[in-house]
Amino acid sequence: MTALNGILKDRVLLIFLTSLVLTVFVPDLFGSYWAIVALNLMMWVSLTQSWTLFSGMTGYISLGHVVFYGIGAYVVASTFKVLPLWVSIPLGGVVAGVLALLVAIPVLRVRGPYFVILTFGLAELVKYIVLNVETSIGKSSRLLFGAPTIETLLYIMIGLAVIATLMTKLVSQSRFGRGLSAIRDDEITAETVGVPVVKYKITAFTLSAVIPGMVGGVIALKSTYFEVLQVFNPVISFTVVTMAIIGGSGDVRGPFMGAAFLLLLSELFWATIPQIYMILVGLFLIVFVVFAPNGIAAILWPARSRDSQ
Amino acid sequence: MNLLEVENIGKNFGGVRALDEVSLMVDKAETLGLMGANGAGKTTLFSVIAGHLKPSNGIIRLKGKTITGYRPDKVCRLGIARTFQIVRPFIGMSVRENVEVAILFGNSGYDSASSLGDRAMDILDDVGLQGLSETSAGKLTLSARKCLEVARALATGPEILLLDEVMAGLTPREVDDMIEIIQRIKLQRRLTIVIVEHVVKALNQLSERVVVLHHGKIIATGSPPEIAQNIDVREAYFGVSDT
Repeated sequence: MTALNGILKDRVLLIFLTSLVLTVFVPDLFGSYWAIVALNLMMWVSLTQSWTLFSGMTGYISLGHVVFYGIGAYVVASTFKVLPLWVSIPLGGVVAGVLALLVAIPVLRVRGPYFVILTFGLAELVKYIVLNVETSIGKSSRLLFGAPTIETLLYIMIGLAVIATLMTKLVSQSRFGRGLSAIRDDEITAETVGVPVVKYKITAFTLSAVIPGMVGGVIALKSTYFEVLQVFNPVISFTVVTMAIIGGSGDVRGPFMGAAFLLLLSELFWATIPQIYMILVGLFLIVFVVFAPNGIAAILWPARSRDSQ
Repeated sequence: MNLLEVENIGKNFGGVRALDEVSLMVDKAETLGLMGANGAGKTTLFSVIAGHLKPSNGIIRLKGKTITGYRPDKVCRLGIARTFQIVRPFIGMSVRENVEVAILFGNSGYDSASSLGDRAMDILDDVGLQGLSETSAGKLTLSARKCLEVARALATGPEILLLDEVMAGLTPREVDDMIEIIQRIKLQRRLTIVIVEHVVKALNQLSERVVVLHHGKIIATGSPPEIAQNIDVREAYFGVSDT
């Protein structure tokens, strides 16, 4: 309850959440093109916030978060017209959470670069398993006719972005979050002072998979088309990590800044000169890692990012 | 009943026998000194007791209950706290936050009767770090880091404190301060302490009983003066017995 009180008193957070919610007016005010841009922004905010919950707080960099997004999309696509969407989208989140729980136990035994490579490899493994299953039943791709409108999907996605932000915030302010920060600083010391490191890592990893599972389902509906290589595309994982680094993960607004920054770049360059876009993303990534490792949020709001870590 | 019992503990690292049938008992409120040359197995023994290493054989009991092979966080919550010879602060946190984590997760349990910050400050007071509470732990001097190791271990609310060379690298003046701190916290909290130390003066002043390890085996047990006279110990340390 004290955590909830803290949230109600947190003006920065409330203003931030309100501005997320205000994007519901984008379709009416600016038309359907910008509705899709808003939907994309909310998608990246949700994914990056969720990634931050685990990787930002524990320092275990997951390069395979797309697997949860992909599996959620797969659940929604394969149960399309069988289950109602209010069941299948949350089910995608649950399946992603269960998958995370199952892989957490072997995967979280390793640290540092080994963990990064392992999460990446695991996501690729699941991708090819799903691809083979789909091919063997003769469904190399699925068309999703009769999906909800972009507006409806935008509203759902805004909801997911708000929940992801709240989850990350609540965790970071809780005893659980303190334990995760201790793990990031020094895992051996953390366990020496009583932090149940195994349980905490598994719990955080599982929590960080649920929202991406639901996001994947919504995005499959948006494209009205499901294709394995597309929803399990590792570039999605890379983009999430890039957004978290550029935006900063010490402040709730960081993931939003990162997502908005990269989307702005892509709006400006992707359609006209895509080669320049990728070069710029690479350059910005290097610049931020070297000169501003705590991201845009730490530049804009220095004090806050330090004590809200 | 003995508070802590170590029974026939052995630990192999490949072909090296780091601990060989080590048995010892620690009574409630006792201070036991552990000495031995580098590589004698002192830190290994601490790691086995605290759960960082699994013993190859043997049993560890706390108040009669077997705790062999428990994970470190569980051992900590049962009331055994250790410090590290090579200090390991949470460098991303302030001194106070380091202690707060230990209060939140340790054996004592945080009941929110008094504010977390106040409790952390009380403990920092006890080790003389109150003035540095908001300093980033990564910026501390060695002696302050050693004090922080002790403070953080204390904050977990232990019954048994395993101190691993908390005086190594300190100046004589700082050693005196540390001895005083340890004596004070021991009295205040009725702590049982096992202390590994190369500073002989500290070991003599603090411990009621000393155990000497050599190549993973216990070669002598006794009061500090008895140990000073022990032939085997002299041989182990100086290579010759001056009979």
